[in-house]
Amino acid sequence: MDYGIEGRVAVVSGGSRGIGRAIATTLAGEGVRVVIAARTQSDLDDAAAAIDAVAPGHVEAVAADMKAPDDVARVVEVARRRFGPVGIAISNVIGHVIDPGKEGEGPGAGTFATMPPEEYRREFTSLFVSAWALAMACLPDMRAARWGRICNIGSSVAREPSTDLPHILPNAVRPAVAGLHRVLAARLAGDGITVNNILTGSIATDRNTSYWRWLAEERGVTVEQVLEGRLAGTPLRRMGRPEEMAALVAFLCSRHAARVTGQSIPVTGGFRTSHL
Amino acid sequence: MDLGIAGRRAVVRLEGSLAGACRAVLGAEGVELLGDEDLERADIVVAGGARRPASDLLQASSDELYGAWEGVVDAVAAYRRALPHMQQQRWGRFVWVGTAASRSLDADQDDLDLVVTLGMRALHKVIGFDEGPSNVLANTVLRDAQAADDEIAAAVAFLCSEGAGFLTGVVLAIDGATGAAVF
Repeated sequence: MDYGIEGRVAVVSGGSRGIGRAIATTLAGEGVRVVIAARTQSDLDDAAAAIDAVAPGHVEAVAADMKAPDDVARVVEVARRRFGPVGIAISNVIGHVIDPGKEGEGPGAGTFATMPPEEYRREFTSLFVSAWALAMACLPDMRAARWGRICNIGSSVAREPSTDLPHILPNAVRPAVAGLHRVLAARLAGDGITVNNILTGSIATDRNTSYWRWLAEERGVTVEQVLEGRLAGTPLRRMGRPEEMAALVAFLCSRHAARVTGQSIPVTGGFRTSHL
Repeated sequence: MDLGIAGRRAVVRLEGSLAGACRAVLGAEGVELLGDEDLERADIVVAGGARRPASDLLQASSDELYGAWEGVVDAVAAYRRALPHMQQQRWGRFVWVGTAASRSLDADQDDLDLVVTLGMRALHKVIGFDEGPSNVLANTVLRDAQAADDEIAAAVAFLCSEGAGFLTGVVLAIDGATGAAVF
């Protein structure tokens, strides 16, 4: 199927690994010119080389902290100069680090009774301000072109909080991010800009794998036992693949999805039980 | 109706006329009203987002975003101070007052409170789950642009009552059924 997005320009935050990298790769495969941004140069180099191999000349990598509005503006400016006006903005910044020992920063996991109040501010920066800043930085180009696609990689906890895991920060902030995208969708529909939010479930990425390992240690069980419990609540009985996130994002960016906006769409294998 | 909360102690952390309305209704039920300095012995904490009518996410500065989100940080800090006493006595009530725009965009245009309310709605759901075994309940009241202070205060008082003892993680919208949302 022709998605009709060849030649468009995209910015993908968190684009060097996992889900972001899969999205950048899929979009580049559709002829989109993609700027990936992340903090670690070596990861960026690796991703850019892999994407360039399948879509030569379609990727540019920029080292940046996509939680910082100034850095976001700089990355968008690089995209404009290198490829032209930006039409696709994919926000994909991680929040609280669940395995601080592994990743070296972040407040880690906690419950309402244990998490320090100020960490809610930090999580707001990671998840909300990052997405808002990227959308705002791309908006002038989208409005001028009367075409745009804004898509956020959110979490299924936006709809139904994880009460079996110590996820108080994403539980509280993800719904606010979903609301941000719902509001933007309503305000920008007249400009030909769609805004959607993906509710991510268990997707097999490096980060996710390290999380299950951490959780197994916390609970004094094996990784297999943790996964078994998780998958028991997942009708499809398997983890998702980053490419399956990317497939939905690419569809939402396509000309066929011009009337799909303001939606929070789960990619969870059927996990969670709420109706809506 | 006797709400069964005479002698309970409440801290009402709301702004303007709504704060007065809530204090009046709770006070009339025999609830003792305390200030922030007494959060550690409160049985009831009522809080809410600051109203910014017609606030617009497309126009907001990052400072304004953070300013609104401080409502969450501040409420969490206050709730945390009250929680140990509530857990210890196995009775507590948290009630958040937010905007009905968090349910349907038609109800109001206060984007900044919408963002805060969505976070707090989810947080109350989790508090309800985590603290239910301690009989500490957490619920949300949503108001639209037309809701009268007295109507909101009555809903808040009901959620604090003994009769509401099996309600937690619930959202009660005082919005005259504005908007098309099914839930």
